[in-house]
Amino acid sequence: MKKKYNLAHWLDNKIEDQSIEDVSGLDTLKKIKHYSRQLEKPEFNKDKVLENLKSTRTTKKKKFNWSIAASILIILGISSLVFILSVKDFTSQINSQETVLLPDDSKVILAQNSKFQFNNWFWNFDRTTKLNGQAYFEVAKGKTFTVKTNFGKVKVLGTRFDVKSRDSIFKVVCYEGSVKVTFKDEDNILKKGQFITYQNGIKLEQSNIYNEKPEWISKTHQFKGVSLSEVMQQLEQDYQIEVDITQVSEDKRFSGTLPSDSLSLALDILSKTYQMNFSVINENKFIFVDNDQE
Amino acid sequence: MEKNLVDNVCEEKVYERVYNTYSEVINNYFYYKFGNQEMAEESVQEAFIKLWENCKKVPFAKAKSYLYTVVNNLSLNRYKHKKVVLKYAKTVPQQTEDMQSPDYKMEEEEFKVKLEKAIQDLSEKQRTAFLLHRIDEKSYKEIAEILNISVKAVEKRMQKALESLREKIEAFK
Repeated sequence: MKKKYNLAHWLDNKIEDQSIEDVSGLDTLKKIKHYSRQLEKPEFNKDKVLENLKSTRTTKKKKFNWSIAASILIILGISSLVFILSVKDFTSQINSQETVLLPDDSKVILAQNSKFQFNNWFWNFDRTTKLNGQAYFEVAKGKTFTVKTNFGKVKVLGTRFDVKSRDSIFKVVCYEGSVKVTFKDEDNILKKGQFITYQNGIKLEQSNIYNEKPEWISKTHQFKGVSLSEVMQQLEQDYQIEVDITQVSEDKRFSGTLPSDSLSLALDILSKTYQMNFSVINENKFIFVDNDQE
Repeated sequence: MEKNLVDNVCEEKVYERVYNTYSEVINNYFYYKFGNQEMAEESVQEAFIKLWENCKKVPFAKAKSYLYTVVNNLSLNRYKHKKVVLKYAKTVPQQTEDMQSPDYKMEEEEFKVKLEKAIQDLSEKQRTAFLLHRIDEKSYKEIAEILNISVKAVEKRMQKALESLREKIEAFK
């Protein structure tokens, strides 16, 4: 075998010239061996190529990242489009309530002048809703149910509760089970019959409530030890009226129930309780004054 | 600690060491094959970019064989083959001075030209093996590694290359 490639071995200096003396053209072969060794290496700019290499390396990396970024953007775009398309909006008009049935048979009753939003297609994955205004919830058992408002968040598993997020007030009432209320970084757990109120970013009160459902659903308002001005504010909102009580001296707290669908009855109850008279300025404006008869 | 460092080709210093050790022979390999300097350099880049992209999978000890595998798998169809142009270093005459005839210098120059032509006419495989041995002074074993063939196959190529060169050079006469 070794003999077969004797020229190769000779070229590699493994065997002497004598060993291949019988090969024809030995003279030429010797010249080839000699002069081929004098050939120079081809040009190669090692540093320049390394330089190029490093810059291509980084641009390649960048390109790579761009394509990933682009596909993420496309995926995000498509999914958010689907998301937006499947969002359902509900708005209740002034002086009217609206009942919304969610895909899992949870029930939401919107108080007047409220906005409610949820995502229809993703409901089974994500029971998140948005509320602006006031609503009463009867939530079917299942995954966490979340109500987001401008002020805070309410999280429940399955229960009945009322959320009010209007003007600067954020109020949550729990009628059954328990709910978690998140306001800023503070978490509060409400049990059955408890409520919590925040106003202007401060926790106002956390106390108990005894009725089974919010009054606005049964078209009444229950008050417990609230000031006259607060009662009037509720009245103004319920009936879209303006009430002037600047001339009333009495400042005792009011506890009781007022209807929210009969203005005359409500006004009557109030004037008797506070011993005051009211005069009608026009259809939407009333002034209360002290009743001086006593 | 040092072993860890050495093991990681992703480490810039280790990577550069691999580059400094193998870039030239890879460049020359491509040049002998296709005679195109630009293409040789681009191929070196391509091979080392591949090494960088896979640096986590390639320990330092495997870098060499990895590079040679990449080199043999690069798709190079987009390049045009050119003639392999070679230069001779400072002349060392084959014979001692007292043996030189007046025509000797001319004859020598003539032979060099013939040799270069004959090398250009060699097949890619023979030329690559031959020049790696003659110019880069690589052993047959190393050439076998670079070309991913057996040492026997390298010997065969060298043998054929020599025979073919001799025939061509004698035919030029």
